[in-house]
Amino acid sequence: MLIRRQTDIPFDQDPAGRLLPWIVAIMIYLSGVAIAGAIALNGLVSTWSSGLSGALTIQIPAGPDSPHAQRQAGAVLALVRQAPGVEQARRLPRQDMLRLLRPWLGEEAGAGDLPLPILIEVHAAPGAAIDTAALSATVAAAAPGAVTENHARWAGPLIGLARSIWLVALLVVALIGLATVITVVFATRTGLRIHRRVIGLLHLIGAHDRYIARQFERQALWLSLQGAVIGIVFAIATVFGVADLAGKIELEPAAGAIFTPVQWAIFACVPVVAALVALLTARITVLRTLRRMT
Amino acid sequence: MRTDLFDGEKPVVRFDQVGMRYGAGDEVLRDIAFSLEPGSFHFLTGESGAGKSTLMRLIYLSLRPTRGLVHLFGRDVATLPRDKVPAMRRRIGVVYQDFQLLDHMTAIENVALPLRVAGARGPDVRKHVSELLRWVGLGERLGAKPPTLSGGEQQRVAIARAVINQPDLLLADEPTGNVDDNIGVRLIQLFEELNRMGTTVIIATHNFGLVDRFRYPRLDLEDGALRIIRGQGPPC
Repeated sequence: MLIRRQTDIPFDQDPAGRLLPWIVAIMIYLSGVAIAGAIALNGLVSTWSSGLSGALTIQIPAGPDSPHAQRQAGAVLALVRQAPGVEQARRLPRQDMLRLLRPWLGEEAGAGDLPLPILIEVHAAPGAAIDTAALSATVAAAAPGAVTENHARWAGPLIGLARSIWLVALLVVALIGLATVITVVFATRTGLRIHRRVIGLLHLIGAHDRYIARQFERQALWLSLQGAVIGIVFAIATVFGVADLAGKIELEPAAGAIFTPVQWAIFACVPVVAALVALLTARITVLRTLRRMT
Repeated sequence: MRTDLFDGEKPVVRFDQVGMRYGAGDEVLRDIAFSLEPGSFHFLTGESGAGKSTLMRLIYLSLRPTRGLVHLFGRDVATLPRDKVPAMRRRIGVVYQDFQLLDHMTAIENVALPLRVAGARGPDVRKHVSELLRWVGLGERLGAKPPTLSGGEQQRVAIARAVINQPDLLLADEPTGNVDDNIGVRLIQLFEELNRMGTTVIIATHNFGLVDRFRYPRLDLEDGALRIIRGQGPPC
Protein backbone atom coordinates (compact mmCIF):
# COMPACT_ATOMS: atom_id res chain seq x y z
CA MET A 1 0.00 0.00 0.00
CA LEU A 2 1.36 3.43 -0.90
CA ILE A 3 -0.50 5.57 1.64
CA ARG A 4 -2.10 4.25 4.86
CA ARG A 5 -5.66 4.90 6.04
CA GLN A 6 -7.28 4.10 9.39
CA THR A 7 -9.94 1.36 9.09
CA ASP A 8 -11.58 -1.21 11.36
CA ILE A 9 -9.93 -3.91 9.29
CA PRO A 10 -6.10 -3.80 9.34
CA PHE A 11 -5.60 -3.72 5.58
CA ASP A 12 -1.97 -2.66 5.92
CA GLN A 13 -1.21 -6.24 7.01
CA ASP A 14 -2.60 -7.51 3.72
CA PRO A 15 0.04 -8.47 1.09
CA ALA A 16 -2.55 -8.54 -1.72
CA GLY A 17 -3.45 -4.94 -0.86
CA ARG A 18 0.16 -3.86 -1.18
CA LEU A 19 0.38 -5.26 -4.73
CA LEU A 20 -2.99 -4.06 -5.99
CA PRO A 21 -2.02 -0.43 -6.79
CA TRP A 22 0.92 -1.57 -8.89
CA ILE A 23 -1.13 -4.17 -10.76
CA VAL A 24 -3.84 -1.58 -11.42
CA ALA A 25 -1.18 0.94 -12.49
CA ILE A 26 0.10 -1.49 -15.13
CA MET A 27 -3.44 -2.33 -16.28
CA ILE A 28 -4.41 1.34 -16.54
CA TYR A 29 -1.19 2.18 -18.35
CA LEU A 30 -1.91 -0.51 -20.97
CA SER A 31 -5.56 0.59 -21.19
CA GLY A 32 -4.55 4.23 -21.52
CA VAL A 33 -2.12 3.51 -24.33
CA ALA A 34 -4.70 1.30 -26.09
CA ILE A 35 -7.41 3.97 -25.72
CA ALA A 36 -5.03 6.67 -26.95
CA GLY A 37 -4.19 4.48 -29.94
CA ALA A 38 -7.87 3.89 -30.63
CA ILE A 39 -8.67 7.61 -30.37
CA ALA A 40 -5.75 8.55 -32.62
CA LEU A 41 -6.67 5.89 -35.14
CA ASN A 42 -10.28 7.01 -35.07
CA GLY A 43 -9.11 10.54 -35.83
CA LEU A 44 -7.03 9.29 -38.75
CA VAL A 45 -9.97 7.30 -40.10
CA SER A 46 -12.19 10.38 -39.90
CA THR A 47 -9.56 12.47 -41.67
CA TRP A 48 -9.12 9.87 -44.40
CA SER A 49 -12.86 9.41 -44.77
CA SER A 50 -13.58 13.10 -45.16
CA GLY A 51 -10.44 13.80 -47.20
CA LEU A 52 -10.72 10.99 -49.68
CA SER A 53 -14.37 10.15 -50.07
CA GLY A 54 -15.08 13.19 -52.25
CA ALA A 55 -11.76 13.41 -54.09
CA LEU A 56 -10.71 12.37 -57.60
CA THR A 57 -7.48 12.66 -59.53
CA ILE A 58 -7.29 12.93 -63.28
CA GLN A 59 -3.99 12.00 -64.83
CA ILE A 60 -3.13 13.05 -68.39
CA PRO A 61 -0.09 11.07 -69.55
CA ALA A 62 2.14 13.53 -71.32
CA GLY A 63 4.94 15.89 -70.54
CA PRO A 64 3.87 19.34 -69.43
CA ASP A 65 5.75 20.86 -72.30
CA SER A 66 3.62 19.05 -74.86
CA PRO A 67 1.26 21.61 -76.44
CA HIS A 68 -1.24 18.89 -77.19
CA ALA A 69 -1.35 17.77 -73.58
CA GLN A 70 -1.67 21.38 -72.43
CA ARG A 71 -4.72 21.85 -74.65
CA GLN A 72 -6.23 18.57 -73.40
CA ALA A 73 -5.66 19.64 -69.78
CA GLY A 74 -7.39 22.95 -70.37
CA ALA A 75 -10.36 21.25 -72.01
CA VAL A 76 -10.63 18.67 -69.24
CA LEU A 77 -10.48 21.34 -66.54
CA ALA A 78 -13.26 23.31 -68.21
CA LEU A 79 -15.46 20.22 -68.53
CA VAL A 80 -14.82 18.98 -65.01
CA ARG A 81 -15.62 22.33 -63.42
CA GLN A 82 -19.06 22.21 -65.04
CA ALA A 83 -19.76 18.63 -63.94
CA PRO A 84 -22.53 18.14 -61.30
CA GLY A 85 -21.29 17.90 -57.72
CA VAL A 86 -17.84 19.35 -58.37
CA GLU A 87 -16.83 22.17 -56.05
CA GLN A 88 -13.24 22.64 -57.05
CA ALA A 89 -10.89 21.38 -59.75
CA ARG A 90 -7.32 22.52 -60.11
CA ARG A 91 -4.21 21.52 -61.91
CA LEU A 92 -1.47 20.43 -59.55
CA PRO A 93 1.58 22.68 -60.03
CA ARG A 94 4.78 20.95 -61.11
CA GLN A 95 6.55 22.14 -57.92
CA ASP A 96 3.92 20.37 -55.78
CA MET A 97 4.38 17.15 -57.76
CA LEU A 98 8.14 17.35 -57.33
CA ARG A 99 7.70 17.90 -53.59
CA LEU A 100 5.55 14.75 -53.37
CA LEU A 101 8.22 12.77 -55.22
CA ARG A 102 11.16 14.10 -53.22
CA PRO A 103 10.92 11.55 -50.34
CA TRP A 104 11.34 8.75 -52.90
CA LEU A 105 13.62 10.29 -55.51
CA GLY A 106 15.62 12.71 -53.35
CA GLU A 107 16.84 16.08 -54.57
CA GLU A 108 17.13 14.60 -58.09
CA ALA A 109 13.37 14.96 -58.29
CA GLY A 110 13.90 18.65 -58.92
CA ALA A 111 15.73 18.01 -62.17
CA GLY A 112 13.97 19.78 -64.99
CA ASP A 113 14.04 16.89 -67.44
CA LEU A 114 11.92 14.48 -65.39
CA PRO A 115 8.83 13.57 -67.46
CA LEU A 116 5.76 14.02 -65.30
CA PRO A 117 2.08 13.62 -66.19
CA ILE A 118 -0.39 16.43 -65.73
CA LEU A 119 -2.47 15.91 -62.57
CA ILE A 120 -5.85 17.52 -61.94
CA GLU A 121 -7.32 17.41 -58.43
CA VAL A 122 -11.10 17.33 -58.20
CA HIS A 123 -13.06 17.87 -54.96
CA ALA A 124 -16.78 17.31 -54.53
CA ALA A 125 -19.00 19.90 -52.89
CA PRO A 126 -19.91 19.02 -49.24
CA GLY A 127 -22.74 16.50 -49.22
CA ALA A 128 -22.66 16.15 -53.01
CA ALA A 129 -21.68 13.06 -54.99
CA ILE A 130 -19.78 13.02 -58.26
CA ASP A 131 -20.87 10.52 -60.90
CA THR A 132 -17.41 9.05 -61.42
CA ALA A 133 -18.38 6.89 -64.44
CA ALA A 134 -19.93 9.81 -66.32
CA LEU A 135 -17.03 12.09 -65.47
CA SER A 136 -14.56 9.42 -66.55
CA ALA A 137 -16.30 9.10 -69.92
CA THR A 138 -16.31 12.87 -70.40
CA VAL A 139 -12.60 13.07 -69.57
CA ALA A 140 -11.77 10.15 -71.87
CA ALA A 141 -13.60 11.87 -74.73
CA ALA A 142 -11.70 15.12 -74.23
CA ALA A 143 -8.32 13.53 -73.54
CA PRO A 144 -7.91 9.95 -74.84
CA GLY A 145 -5.59 8.00 -72.52
CA ALA A 146 -6.38 10.10 -69.46
CA VAL A 147 -7.04 8.14 -66.25
CA THR A 148 -9.68 9.17 -63.72
CA GLU A 149 -8.95 7.72 -60.27
CA ASN A 150 -11.53 7.70 -57.51
CA HIS A 151 -9.66 7.84 -54.15
CA ALA A 152 -12.56 6.26 -52.30
CA ARG A 153 -11.87 3.01 -54.19
CA TRP A 154 -8.60 2.37 -52.38
CA ALA A 155 -9.39 4.44 -49.31
CA GLY A 156 -12.37 2.17 -48.45
CA PRO A 157 -10.40 -0.99 -47.60
CA LEU A 158 -7.80 1.10 -45.76
CA ILE A 159 -10.48 2.71 -43.63
CA GLY A 160 -11.99 -0.76 -43.04
CA LEU A 161 -8.59 -2.00 -41.83
CA ALA A 162 -8.21 1.01 -39.55
CA ARG A 163 -11.68 0.44 -38.09
CA SER A 164 -10.81 -3.23 -37.44
CA ILE A 165 -7.66 -2.17 -35.58
CA TRP A 166 -9.79 0.30 -33.61
CA LEU A 167 -12.18 -2.50 -32.60
CA VAL A 168 -9.22 -4.68 -31.60
CA ALA A 169 -7.95 -1.83 -29.41
CA LEU A 170 -11.35 -1.59 -27.72
CA LEU A 171 -11.33 -5.37 -27.21
CA VAL A 172 -7.89 -5.07 -25.60
CA VAL A 173 -9.25 -2.39 -23.25
CA ALA A 174 -12.22 -4.62 -22.38
CA LEU A 175 -9.91 -7.58 -21.67
CA ILE A 176 -7.66 -5.43 -19.49
CA GLY A 177 -10.77 -4.28 -17.64
CA LEU A 178 -11.80 -7.90 -17.12
CA ALA A 179 -8.31 -8.75 -15.86
CA THR A 180 -8.54 -5.82 -13.42
CA VAL A 181 -11.89 -7.08 -12.14
CA ILE A 182 -10.45 -10.59 -11.65
CA THR A 183 -7.46 -9.11 -9.80
CA VAL A 184 -9.71 -7.12 -7.47
CA VAL A 185 -11.87 -10.21 -6.83
CA PHE A 186 -8.75 -12.21 -5.97
CA ALA A 187 -7.34 -9.46 -3.72
CA THR A 188 -10.70 -9.04 -1.97
CA ARG A 189 -11.13 -12.77 -1.35
CA THR A 190 -7.59 -12.95 -0.03
CA GLY A 191 -8.38 -10.02 2.27
CA LEU A 192 -11.53 -11.74 3.51
CA ARG A 193 -9.52 -14.85 4.37
CA ILE A 194 -6.69 -12.93 6.04
CA HIS A 195 -9.07 -10.79 8.11
CA ARG A 196 -11.54 -13.56 8.94
CA ARG A 197 -11.09 -13.06 12.71
CA VAL A 198 -11.70 -9.31 12.58
CA ILE A 199 -14.69 -9.76 10.26
CA GLY A 200 -16.11 -12.37 12.64
CA LEU A 201 -15.72 -9.96 15.54
CA LEU A 202 -17.37 -7.12 13.62
CA HIS A 203 -20.28 -9.46 12.85
CA LEU A 204 -20.59 -10.40 16.53
CA ILE A 205 -20.56 -6.74 17.53
CA GLY A 206 -23.50 -6.23 15.19
CA ALA A 207 -21.98 -5.10 11.91
CA HIS A 208 -24.06 -5.65 8.80
CA ASP A 209 -22.45 -7.23 5.77
CA ARG A 210 -22.83 -3.81 4.15
CA TYR A 211 -20.68 -2.22 6.87
CA ILE A 212 -17.91 -4.74 6.24
CA ALA A 213 -18.34 -4.47 2.47
CA ARG A 214 -18.02 -0.68 2.76
CA GLN A 215 -14.60 -1.08 4.38
CA PHE A 216 -13.41 -3.34 1.57
CA GLU A 217 -14.88 -1.21 -1.21
CA ARG A 218 -13.30 1.99 0.17
CA GLN A 219 -10.00 0.17 0.39
CA ALA A 220 -10.35 -1.10 -3.19
CA LEU A 221 -11.35 2.40 -4.36
CA TRP A 222 -8.39 3.99 -2.59
CA LEU A 223 -5.80 1.47 -3.79
CA SER A 224 -7.15 1.38 -7.35
CA LEU A 225 -7.28 5.16 -7.56
CA GLN A 226 -3.64 5.39 -6.49
CA GLY A 227 -2.63 2.79 -9.09
CA ALA A 228 -4.87 4.23 -11.79
CA VAL A 229 -3.48 7.76 -11.39
CA ILE A 230 0.08 6.44 -11.64
CA GLY A 231 -0.86 4.36 -14.71
CA ILE A 232 -2.64 7.18 -16.52
CA VAL A 233 0.19 9.66 -15.85
CA PHE A 234 2.66 7.27 -17.47
CA ALA A 235 0.20 6.59 -20.31
CA ILE A 236 -0.16 10.34 -21.00
CA ALA A 237 3.62 10.71 -20.96
CA THR A 238 3.87 7.84 -23.45
CA VAL A 239 1.22 9.39 -25.71
CA PHE A 240 3.06 12.72 -25.77
CA GLY A 241 6.33 10.91 -26.41
CA VAL A 242 4.90 8.96 -29.35
CA ALA A 243 3.12 12.06 -30.69
CA ASP A 244 6.36 13.97 -30.51
CA LEU A 245 8.19 11.24 -32.45
CA ALA A 246 5.35 11.13 -34.98
CA GLY A 247 5.55 14.90 -35.36
CA LYS A 248 9.26 14.68 -36.14
CA ILE A 249 8.58 12.46 -39.14
CA GLU A 250 5.60 14.61 -40.17
CA LEU A 251 3.24 11.68 -39.60
CA GLU A 252 0.86 13.42 -37.23
CA PRO A 253 0.72 16.60 -35.18
CA ALA A 254 1.39 16.67 -31.40
CA ALA A 255 -0.90 14.81 -28.98
CA GLY A 256 -2.67 18.01 -28.00
CA ALA A 257 -3.82 18.36 -31.57
CA ILE A 258 -4.69 14.64 -31.99
CA PHE A 259 -7.15 14.65 -29.06
CA THR A 260 -10.15 16.92 -28.83
CA PRO A 261 -11.11 18.27 -25.37
CA VAL A 262 -13.86 15.63 -25.17
CA GLN A 263 -11.34 12.89 -25.94
CA TRP A 264 -8.99 14.24 -23.29
CA ALA A 265 -11.93 14.15 -20.86
CA ILE A 266 -12.54 10.50 -21.77
CA PHE A 267 -8.87 9.81 -21.19
CA ALA A 268 -8.95 11.55 -17.81
CA CYS A 269 -12.01 9.49 -16.80
CA VAL A 270 -10.11 6.20 -17.12
CA PRO A 271 -8.73 6.24 -13.52
CA VAL A 272 -12.12 7.24 -12.11
CA VAL A 273 -13.91 4.50 -14.05
CA ALA A 274 -11.27 1.96 -12.99
CA ALA A 275 -11.62 2.95 -9.33
CA LEU A 276 -15.42 2.73 -9.50
CA VAL A 277 -15.20 -0.69 -11.17
CA ALA A 278 -12.86 -1.81 -8.36
CA LEU A 279 -15.29 -0.43 -5.75
CA LEU A 280 -18.27 -2.27 -7.23
CA THR A 281 -16.25 -5.46 -7.71
CA ALA A 282 -15.12 -5.41 -4.07
CA ARG A 283 -18.65 -4.74 -2.83
CA ILE A 284 -20.19 -7.59 -4.83
CA THR A 285 -17.36 -9.98 -3.89
CA VAL A 286 -17.64 -9.24 -0.16
CA LEU A 287 -21.43 -9.43 -0.05
CA ARG A 288 -21.52 -12.70 -1.98
CA THR A 289 -18.71 -14.25 0.03
CA LEU A 290 -20.15 -13.24 3.41
CA ARG A 291 -23.56 -14.58 2.40
CA ARG A 292 -21.96 -17.94 1.63
CA MET A 293 -19.92 -17.93 4.86
CA THR A 294 -22.97 -17.89 7.14
CA MET B 1 -30.82 0.53 23.19
CA ARG B 2 -34.32 -0.90 23.02
CA THR B 3 -35.52 -1.81 19.56
CA ASP B 4 -38.63 -3.18 17.94
CA LEU B 5 -37.25 -6.67 18.50
CA PHE B 6 -37.56 -6.23 22.24
CA ASP B 7 -40.51 -7.75 24.04
CA GLY B 8 -40.25 -7.00 27.74
CA GLU B 9 -42.86 -9.62 28.63
CA LYS B 10 -40.96 -12.54 27.17
CA PRO B 11 -37.76 -14.13 28.48
CA VAL B 12 -34.56 -12.56 27.21
CA VAL B 13 -33.09 -16.02 26.67
CA ARG B 14 -34.98 -19.27 26.35
CA PHE B 15 -33.51 -22.67 25.49
CA ASP B 16 -35.86 -25.58 24.65
CA GLN B 17 -34.23 -29.01 24.67
CA VAL B 18 -31.10 -27.69 23.00
CA GLY B 19 -28.36 -30.10 21.99
CA MET B 20 -25.01 -29.19 20.49
CA ARG B 21 -22.28 -31.30 18.99
CA TYR B 22 -19.21 -30.37 16.95
CA GLY B 23 -19.01 -32.41 13.76
CA ALA B 24 -19.60 -36.11 14.37
CA GLY B 25 -18.45 -35.97 18.00
CA ASP B 26 -20.48 -36.51 21.14
CA GLU B 27 -22.94 -33.87 22.28
CA VAL B 28 -21.19 -31.25 24.40
CA LEU B 29 -24.56 -29.88 25.51
CA ARG B 30 -27.60 -32.11 26.06
CA ASP B 31 -31.26 -31.20 26.50
CA ILE B 32 -30.52 -27.73 27.78
CA ALA B 33 -33.72 -26.01 28.87
CA PHE B 34 -33.92 -22.74 30.78
CA SER B 35 -35.20 -19.21 30.47
CA LEU B 36 -33.87 -15.91 31.78
CA GLU B 37 -36.26 -13.10 32.61
CA PRO B 38 -35.42 -9.49 31.65
CA GLY B 39 -33.24 -7.83 34.25
CA SER B 40 -31.99 -11.06 35.84
CA PHE B 41 -28.40 -11.76 36.90
CA HIS B 42 -26.91 -15.25 36.65
CA PHE B 43 -23.56 -16.91 37.01
CA LEU B 44 -22.77 -19.72 34.59
CA THR B 45 -20.53 -22.20 36.35
CA GLY B 46 -18.88 -25.48 35.57
CA GLU B 47 -15.49 -27.09 35.27
CA SER B 48 -13.26 -26.41 32.29
CA GLY B 49 -14.69 -28.23 29.26
CA ALA B 50 -18.18 -28.41 30.76
CA GLY B 51 -19.58 -26.44 27.82
CA LYS B 52 -19.81 -22.92 29.28
CA SER B 53 -18.23 -21.25 26.25
CA THR B 54 -20.38 -23.30 23.87
CA LEU B 55 -23.51 -22.22 25.73
CA MET B 56 -22.35 -18.60 25.58
CA ARG B 57 -21.64 -18.86 21.86
CA LEU B 58 -25.14 -20.22 21.28
CA ILE B 59 -26.55 -17.20 23.09
CA TYR B 60 -24.50 -14.61 21.22
CA LEU B 61 -25.33 -16.25 17.89
CA SER B 62 -21.85 -17.45 17.08
CA LEU B 63 -23.15 -21.04 16.84
CA ARG B 64 -26.41 -22.66 15.80
CA PRO B 65 -27.67 -25.61 17.91
CA THR B 66 -27.74 -29.04 16.33
CA ARG B 67 -31.18 -29.60 17.88
CA GLY B 68 -33.71 -27.76 19.98
CA LEU B 69 -34.81 -24.13 19.91
CA VAL B 70 -33.05 -20.98 21.05
CA HIS B 71 -35.16 -17.89 21.61
CA LEU B 72 -33.64 -14.45 22.16
CA PHE B 73 -35.82 -11.50 23.13
CA GLY B 74 -38.85 -13.59 22.23
CA ARG B 75 -37.62 -14.49 18.73
CA ASP B 76 -36.71 -17.97 17.51
CA VAL B 77 -33.20 -17.37 16.19
CA ALA B 78 -33.50 -20.24 13.69
CA THR B 79 -36.19 -18.32 11.80
CA LEU B 80 -34.59 -14.90 12.22
CA PRO B 81 -33.90 -13.38 8.77
CA ARG B 82 -30.21 -12.85 8.10
CA ASP B 83 -30.56 -9.08 7.86
CA LYS B 84 -32.13 -8.95 11.35
CA VAL B 85 -29.24 -10.76 13.04
CA PRO B 86 -26.98 -7.65 13.38
CA ALA B 87 -29.73 -5.72 15.18
CA MET B 88 -30.15 -8.67 17.56
CA ARG B 89 -26.39 -8.85 18.17
CA ARG B 90 -26.17 -5.13 18.95
CA ARG B 91 -28.41 -5.78 21.94
CA ILE B 92 -25.89 -8.28 23.31
CA GLY B 93 -22.60 -7.21 24.87
CA VAL B 94 -19.96 -9.91 25.08
CA VAL B 95 -16.74 -10.08 27.09
CA TYR B 96 -14.73 -12.80 25.41
CA GLN B 97 -12.39 -15.02 27.36
CA ASP B 98 -9.57 -14.13 24.95
CA PHE B 99 -10.72 -10.48 24.83
CA GLN B 100 -10.87 -10.32 21.00
CA LEU B 101 -9.41 -6.82 20.89
CA LEU B 102 -8.18 -5.38 17.60
CA ASP B 103 -4.42 -4.92 17.92
CA HIS B 104 -4.19 -2.14 15.33
CA MET B 105 -6.62 0.04 17.27
CA THR B 106 -6.09 2.01 20.46
CA ALA B 107 -8.04 1.25 23.62
CA ILE B 108 -10.44 4.10 22.94
CA GLU B 109 -10.98 2.97 19.34
CA ASN B 110 -11.63 -0.62 20.45
CA VAL B 111 -14.22 0.49 22.98
CA ALA B 112 -15.87 2.85 20.48
CA LEU B 113 -16.20 0.08 17.88
CA PRO B 114 -19.76 -1.05 18.81
CA LEU B 115 -20.91 2.56 18.68
CA ARG B 116 -19.27 3.11 15.31
CA VAL B 117 -20.79 -0.09 13.94
CA ALA B 118 -24.17 1.17 15.12
CA GLY B 119 -23.58 4.42 13.23
CA ALA B 120 -22.66 6.74 16.13
CA ARG B 121 -20.11 9.46 15.32
CA GLY B 122 -18.82 12.70 16.75
CA PRO B 123 -17.11 14.14 19.84
CA ASP B 124 -19.78 12.82 22.22
CA VAL B 125 -18.73 9.28 21.37
CA ARG B 126 -15.13 9.99 22.31
CA LYS B 127 -16.18 11.70 25.54
CA HIS B 128 -18.49 8.84 26.49
CA VAL B 129 -15.85 6.21 25.75
CA SER B 130 -13.15 8.14 27.62
CA GLU B 131 -15.36 8.39 30.71
CA LEU B 132 -16.03 4.65 30.69
CA LEU B 133 -12.33 3.82 30.27
CA ARG B 134 -11.53 6.13 33.16
CA TRP B 135 -14.18 4.35 35.23
CA VAL B 136 -12.49 0.97 34.64
CA GLY B 137 -9.16 2.51 35.61
CA LEU B 138 -7.68 3.02 32.17
CA GLY B 139 -7.86 6.80 31.98
CA GLU B 140 -4.12 6.98 31.37
CA ARG B 141 -4.10 4.31 28.66
CA LEU B 142 -6.68 5.68 26.21
CA GLY B 143 -4.24 5.78 23.30
CA ALA B 144 -2.47 2.50 24.09
CA LYS B 145 -2.79 -0.43 21.71
CA PRO B 146 -3.66 -3.88 23.11
CA PRO B 147 -0.19 -5.43 22.61
CA THR B 148 1.19 -2.79 24.99
CA LEU B 149 -1.46 -3.44 27.66
CA SER B 150 -1.24 -6.04 30.44
CA GLY B 151 -3.71 -8.94 30.53
CA GLY B 152 -5.80 -7.20 33.17
CA GLU B 153 -5.85 -3.96 31.22
CA GLN B 154 -6.89 -5.77 28.05
CA GLN B 155 -9.68 -7.45 29.98
CA ARG B 156 -10.97 -4.09 31.22
CA VAL B 157 -10.92 -2.72 27.67
CA ALA B 158 -12.90 -5.78 26.55
CA ILE B 159 -15.42 -5.20 29.34
CA ALA B 160 -15.74 -1.52 28.46
CA ARG B 161 -16.38 -2.44 24.84
CA ALA B 162 -19.09 -4.93 25.88
CA VAL B 163 -20.99 -2.42 28.01
CA ILE B 164 -20.43 0.80 26.05
CA ASN B 165 -23.85 0.76 24.36
CA GLN B 166 -25.78 -0.45 27.42
CA PRO B 167 -26.84 -3.78 25.96
CA ASP B 168 -30.06 -5.57 26.91
CA LEU B 169 -28.05 -8.72 27.55
CA LEU B 170 -24.46 -8.91 28.78
CA LEU B 171 -22.44 -12.12 28.49
CA ALA B 172 -19.05 -12.26 30.16
CA ASP B 173 -16.79 -15.28 29.73
CA GLU B 174 -14.38 -15.43 32.68
CA PRO B 175 -14.26 -11.63 32.99
CA THR B 176 -12.27 -11.70 36.22
CA GLY B 177 -9.74 -14.30 35.17
CA ASN B 178 -6.84 -11.89 34.73
CA VAL B 179 -7.45 -9.37 37.50
CA ASP B 180 -6.93 -9.43 41.26
CA ASP B 181 -9.86 -9.90 43.63
CA ASN B 182 -10.38 -6.19 44.28
CA ILE B 183 -10.63 -5.34 40.57
CA GLY B 184 -12.74 -8.49 40.08
CA VAL B 185 -15.26 -7.33 42.67
CA ARG B 186 -15.27 -3.86 41.11
CA LEU B 187 -15.99 -5.32 37.69
CA ILE B 188 -18.87 -7.40 39.04
CA GLN B 189 -20.19 -4.22 40.65
CA LEU B 190 -20.06 -2.57 37.22
CA PHE B 191 -22.16 -5.45 35.87
CA GLU B 192 -24.55 -5.05 38.80
CA GLU B 193 -24.91 -1.36 37.97
CA LEU B 194 -25.82 -2.25 34.39
CA ASN B 195 -28.17 -4.90 35.72
CA ARG B 196 -29.93 -2.31 37.86
CA MET B 197 -30.53 -0.29 34.68
CA GLY B 198 -32.29 -3.30 33.14
CA THR B 199 -29.51 -5.29 31.48
CA THR B 200 -29.77 -9.05 31.85
CA VAL B 201 -26.37 -10.40 32.89
CA ILE B 202 -24.76 -13.83 32.55
CA ILE B 203 -21.22 -14.29 33.86
CA ALA B 204 -19.39 -17.51 33.07
CA THR B 205 -16.76 -18.27 35.69
CA HIS B 206 -15.14 -21.01 37.64
CA ASN B 207 -14.20 -18.59 40.43
CA PHE B 208 -16.58 -20.06 43.00
CA GLY B 209 -15.28 -17.70 45.68
CA LEU B 210 -16.56 -14.76 43.67
CA VAL B 211 -19.84 -16.54 42.90
CA ASP B 212 -20.44 -17.24 46.61
CA ARG B 213 -19.71 -13.63 47.46
CA PHE B 214 -22.54 -12.31 45.33
CA ARG B 215 -25.00 -15.19 45.70
CA TYR B 216 -26.82 -14.74 42.42
CA PRO B 217 -28.53 -17.83 40.91
CA ARG B 218 -26.25 -20.21 39.05
CA LEU B 219 -26.62 -22.08 35.81
CA ASP B 220 -24.37 -25.01 36.52
CA LEU B 221 -23.08 -27.20 33.70
CA GLU B 222 -21.84 -30.70 34.36
CA ASP B 223 -21.15 -33.27 31.63
CA GLY B 224 -23.15 -31.22 29.11
CA ALA B 225 -26.27 -31.09 31.31
CA LEU B 226 -27.57 -27.98 33.02
CA ARG B 227 -29.06 -27.51 36.46
CA ILE B 228 -30.23 -24.26 37.98
CA ILE B 229 -29.12 -23.48 41.51
CA ARG B 230 -31.14 -20.70 43.06
CA GLY B 231 -29.20 -17.91 44.72
CA GLN B 232 -29.77 -16.68 48.20
CA GLY B 233 -28.59 -13.13 47.79
CA PRO B 234 -29.70 -10.06 45.89
CA PRO B 235 -32.69 -10.11 43.43
CA CYS B 236 -32.64 -12.49 40.52
